[in-house]
Amino acid sequence: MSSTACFVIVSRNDSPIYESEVGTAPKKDEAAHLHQFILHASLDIVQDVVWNTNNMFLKLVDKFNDLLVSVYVTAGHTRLMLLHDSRNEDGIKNFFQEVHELYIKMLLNPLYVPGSRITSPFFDTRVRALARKYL
Amino acid sequence: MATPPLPQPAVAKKSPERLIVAIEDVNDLWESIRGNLEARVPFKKASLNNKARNLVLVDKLVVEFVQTTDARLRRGLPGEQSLLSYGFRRPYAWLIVVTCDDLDEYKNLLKPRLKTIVQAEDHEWFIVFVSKATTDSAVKISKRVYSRIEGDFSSKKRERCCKVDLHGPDTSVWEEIELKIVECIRYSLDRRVQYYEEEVRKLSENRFMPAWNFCNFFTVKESLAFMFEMANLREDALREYDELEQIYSETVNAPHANTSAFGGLDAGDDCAALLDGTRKPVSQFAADGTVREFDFRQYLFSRQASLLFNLLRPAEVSGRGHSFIILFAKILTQHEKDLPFCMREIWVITACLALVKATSRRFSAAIVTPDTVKDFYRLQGDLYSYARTKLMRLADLIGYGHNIETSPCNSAALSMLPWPRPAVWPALPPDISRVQAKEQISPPKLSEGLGRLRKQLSLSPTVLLREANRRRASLSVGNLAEMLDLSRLSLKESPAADAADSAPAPLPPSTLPDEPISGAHSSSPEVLQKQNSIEPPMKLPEVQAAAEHALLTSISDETLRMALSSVEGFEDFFLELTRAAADNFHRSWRKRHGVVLDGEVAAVHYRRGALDAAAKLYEKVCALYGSEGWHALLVQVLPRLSECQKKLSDWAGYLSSCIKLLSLDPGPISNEDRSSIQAEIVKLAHGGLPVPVSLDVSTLITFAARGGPPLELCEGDPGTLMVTVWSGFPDDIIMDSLSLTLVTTFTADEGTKVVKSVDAPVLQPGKNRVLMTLPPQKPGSYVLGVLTGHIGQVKLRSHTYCTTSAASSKGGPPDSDDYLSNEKPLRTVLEVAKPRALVEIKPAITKGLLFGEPQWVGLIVRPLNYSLEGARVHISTGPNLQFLSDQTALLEVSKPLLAEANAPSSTDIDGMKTFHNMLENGDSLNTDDNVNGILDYDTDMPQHLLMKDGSVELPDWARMVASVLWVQVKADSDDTLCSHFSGDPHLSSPPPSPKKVPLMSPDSQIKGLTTASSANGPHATADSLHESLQHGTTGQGHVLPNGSLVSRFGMKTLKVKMEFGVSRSRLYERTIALQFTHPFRISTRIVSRGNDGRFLLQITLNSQLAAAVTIQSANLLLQPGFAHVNNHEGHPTPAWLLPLSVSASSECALLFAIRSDPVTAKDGEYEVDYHAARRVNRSSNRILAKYFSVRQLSEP
Repeated sequence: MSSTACFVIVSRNDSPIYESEVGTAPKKDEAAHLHQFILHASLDIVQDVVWNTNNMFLKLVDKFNDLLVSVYVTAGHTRLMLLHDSRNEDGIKNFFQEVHELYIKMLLNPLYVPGSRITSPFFDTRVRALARKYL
Repeated sequence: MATPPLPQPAVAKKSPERLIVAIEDVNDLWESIRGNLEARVPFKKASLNNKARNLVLVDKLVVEFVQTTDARLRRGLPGEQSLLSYGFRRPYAWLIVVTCDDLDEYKNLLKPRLKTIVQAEDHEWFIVFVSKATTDSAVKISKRVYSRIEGDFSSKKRERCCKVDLHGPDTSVWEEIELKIVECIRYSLDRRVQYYEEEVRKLSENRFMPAWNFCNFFTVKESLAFMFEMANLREDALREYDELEQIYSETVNAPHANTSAFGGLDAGDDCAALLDGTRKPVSQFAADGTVREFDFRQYLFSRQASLLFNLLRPAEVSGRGHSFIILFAKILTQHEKDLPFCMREIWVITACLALVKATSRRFSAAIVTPDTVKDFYRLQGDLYSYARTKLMRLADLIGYGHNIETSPCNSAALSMLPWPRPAVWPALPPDISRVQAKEQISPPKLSEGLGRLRKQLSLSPTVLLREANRRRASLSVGNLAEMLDLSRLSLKESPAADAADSAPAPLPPSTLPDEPISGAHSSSPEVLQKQNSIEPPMKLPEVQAAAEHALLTSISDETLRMALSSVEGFEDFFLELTRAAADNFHRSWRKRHGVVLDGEVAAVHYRRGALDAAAKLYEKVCALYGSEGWHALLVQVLPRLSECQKKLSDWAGYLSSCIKLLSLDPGPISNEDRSSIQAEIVKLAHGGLPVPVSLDVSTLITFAARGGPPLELCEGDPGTLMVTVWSGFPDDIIMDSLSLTLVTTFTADEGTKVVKSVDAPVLQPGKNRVLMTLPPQKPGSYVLGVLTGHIGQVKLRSHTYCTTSAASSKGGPPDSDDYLSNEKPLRTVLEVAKPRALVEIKPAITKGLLFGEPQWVGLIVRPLNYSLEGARVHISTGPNLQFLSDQTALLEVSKPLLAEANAPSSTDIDGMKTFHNMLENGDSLNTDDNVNGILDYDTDMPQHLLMKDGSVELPDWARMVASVLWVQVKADSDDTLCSHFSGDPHLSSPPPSPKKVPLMSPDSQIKGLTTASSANGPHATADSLHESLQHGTTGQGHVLPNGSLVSRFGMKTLKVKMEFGVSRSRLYERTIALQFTHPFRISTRIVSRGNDGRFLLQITLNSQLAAAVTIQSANLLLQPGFAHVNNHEGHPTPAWLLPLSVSASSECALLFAIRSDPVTAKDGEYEVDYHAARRVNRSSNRILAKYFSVRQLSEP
């Protein structure tokens, strides 16, 4: 069964710094637009939810028709957002945690300016591998 | 007085019921106390037990007093009707009103009667004894009767009597009665609640029995709820309904639930009744034993809502309503096949609007917490946008799709929402005009200009045409062949697949901006032909017309029908919903939701031509997306904004939108488009702009200074500054000019300086180097400020100063999100030093120069960390100093050794060292192209410089290094200018000299001097000059009248003027004092005097020189009156004394024998003219030299 998933990392100042369509559903040009739209809108909800919990993993924060938005917030208020249609919460949690680790490694790179776009192909490959593994 | 009829049960549910207190009016006294009692209703402080048996203070407990003779009560008597369904309506308290003024009467008549009443039924009662007594005796009797009643009916446990004195002043009795009534109510309520709960428990235990009927359960449960509501215990009532709803859901969703009719087929059912519990007689279900889900769920919700409204919790209604609507819409989807066409959409729209209307009317933000307010507005916004989505779906269905903006918002909402799936698609309406009208709808024009950049998004999940034709009545009769055809037509037959995948397999996706008109006609004609044989499939206009006809005939909600009957109506309604949703989202701090919907409002304005309003709203959207960097979303809105601005002739806005488009990620916009945008900007800039426009291109053009240390300039010096500019324009862009502001740091005043580029630059995409001309600046540190480029009427400003070349090399803006510091470190690009000494000229030797001889004077020119490139030294002399203005000067490097010998300051040595280091590293400031030139010169050989008019230009190599400039001067001894030194005239050290003086003809040097000195020297005769030419050095002395001969010292001045700096704008002037002296100090003494007038004169020569000299010859010129003995020619005696070698600073003496010559004598006065000519013994070379080096001093 094909699944739709779109993963976005949103920096502290609300701009997307990494995007990838990690679902297995056939790629559609406009889908990426819509996914971004949904994720962007759900930032509104994240900002409410994030202060109500001590956890980094905020679980499900938003729903759009059949699509769900799960969010993980790092200590630096970088948000890892996943738009998905499966309800595999544990897998998503693991996925987030591992991506968070990757992201921290990214931050350790002295040539990477925090908050700028992540262009590393290595990072991309690893994220996709993680998505295949957990989602 | 007529009592109002007790309402019918079904009707009673409309209005909140009141608790009934029965009045057993034994002695017809009710009317006399009625007024007092009813005035106390509602009871203010009634304490009742809630369901959990806790005492709750109920304010405003409403009760109704009904006499037992009333027909309503008689009907409600036990046994006549079902206890379960009507028991809760029975009186909660019995008030027995009696009076008696005779003990016997009481004993015989009243008491038995009261006993009967009290024991007749198991109810809560109490007796009110009314005393009408006015006289004392009557009062006494009534008191006695009352005490008897008390004794008979009250117990210690419970007071069941109270006495009302009609004529007494005491009014506290009414309060007592009220308390008693409440007490009775409390007891009854407790008992009845217990009874009903027992019933409920029994029924719910049997819930899974096959014979269990929900209706019975519902009746009991709702009775309980009614009872609580009557007792003002609304929380408990609400809880009952909640439980009821839960159990109902369980019942319905149970796997073996008997599927009764869903309902929703009645007229007007499409209009949601979720807040109107009275539309359907729900009790009828109970009676019928069938519960229709459609009606029942709405009824339950309406009861909950009304309870919540009474509890003043409209926000909760909103929250519950939102989830109810979503849940109910899902249920409707499940039953879609059985429901009228588009029932679900219509119901959702009406439900949302009804809910929003009801809740916002009752909501008051003042009495709830801010969080609740936020949440409430969020829900209102959600409801509005839900209704809006459904409205769009309906509009799209009936052919208004072109009027819906294909924004990500709408596309996301619609393309993930399936089309309605009725069992049978509505048939074509009889009148063809509707179809024709639909056919005339033209597809939207493809956007021109920048609008083409917007991605065409789909508004529909699948192709409507296919969806509709699949459900045609004629095709769905069960014709297997057709079914196969259809399944071949669409591989995605199942609804789930349809929802998941909106790409219609057989159709080219590119043709699907919104309504697939073109796609419909061109799509799979062979399939359509197959269907032709059975019945021609509907065309899209037909589908739309059919849908419109079906909707307009079925919709019962007037607003919605108006909205769907015309495009204008739709747009109005759509605008209203969108605006309301946006407003509510803004109020709930969901700025993103709000702003997105603002964009939708703008789209409607745009279509209607209200460009001003549209542009304003679009700007908001663009600002949001832009500031947060969601470029993929921005590219959907920005082109539209630019179109608005262009049409509004807001050129500044239009150009800045173009700039923003160019500065987006390259992904969404192709290179051709970017080029055309740039061309548009340039075209506008060079013509067509009424006023100059200033644009911020910080995102597109970034700049940085060269790496490394800042450029250092001295105050007042011009210079050039290299700036690297990264251009994000897709093509070369030709600027008319490029200027840059320099901002001083740490100074409040004197804000910025503007510097311009050397030439009009052409910025290529990517990295460019631009040279800026720096006019002379004030001292201070400067950082780069704003880069401004001019193209025609357009001024492009960039504020982005790149700190890291890594970020800027991508061409993108540098990151603004700095985790560590908020302030970007400003890198100084230019340091302008404060005014200071830039050069120093010192004489290499000031003392011990000889009069009358050409002397080499050394000038140490030491640049103080400043380049003397192109410097010119101009020398002029003071009085009595001869200087040949066109001569060959010598220039050599001032060695540290020499500098030390001349007591240099330590800084100079440092300067030298630095300079030498720089030479070694080959890394010097501003000299890289000339390094070789420096290294070229021979440090041992002085360089010949040709001096013209007293000026000499310093060569390149001397610009950073201290050098010594040697020039020749000659001083004349002049009495008037001579100064006599009282101090020690001893020469401190021998003067330095050019080490290797190149061979040159001495004549050429001296001849000029000779002529000059012959003109100036009054004491020099032609002979002596000739002598001096012969011997090289001339010394002169005078014997003063006191007889002692002293040498004379003279201060001469040399004016040195140096022009240096860029274009020789700087001037250094100094007057150098030179001390000239004679070679010998001379004193005379008469050693011995003979009788014959002869005497022996000793002339002592005290050498002032720091080197040994040999006196080759000497002669003494005598004044008249004296003559040499032996008629010598003035040579010393004895003659063999000469040549005489005199070592440095030593004394020697010559003896002369002279006699007085009476012929020439003048009365006792004499003067000796002394002229000595010596030849300097120079063994190393035989040329004329004026100075003796240290080395020569050590020579034997």
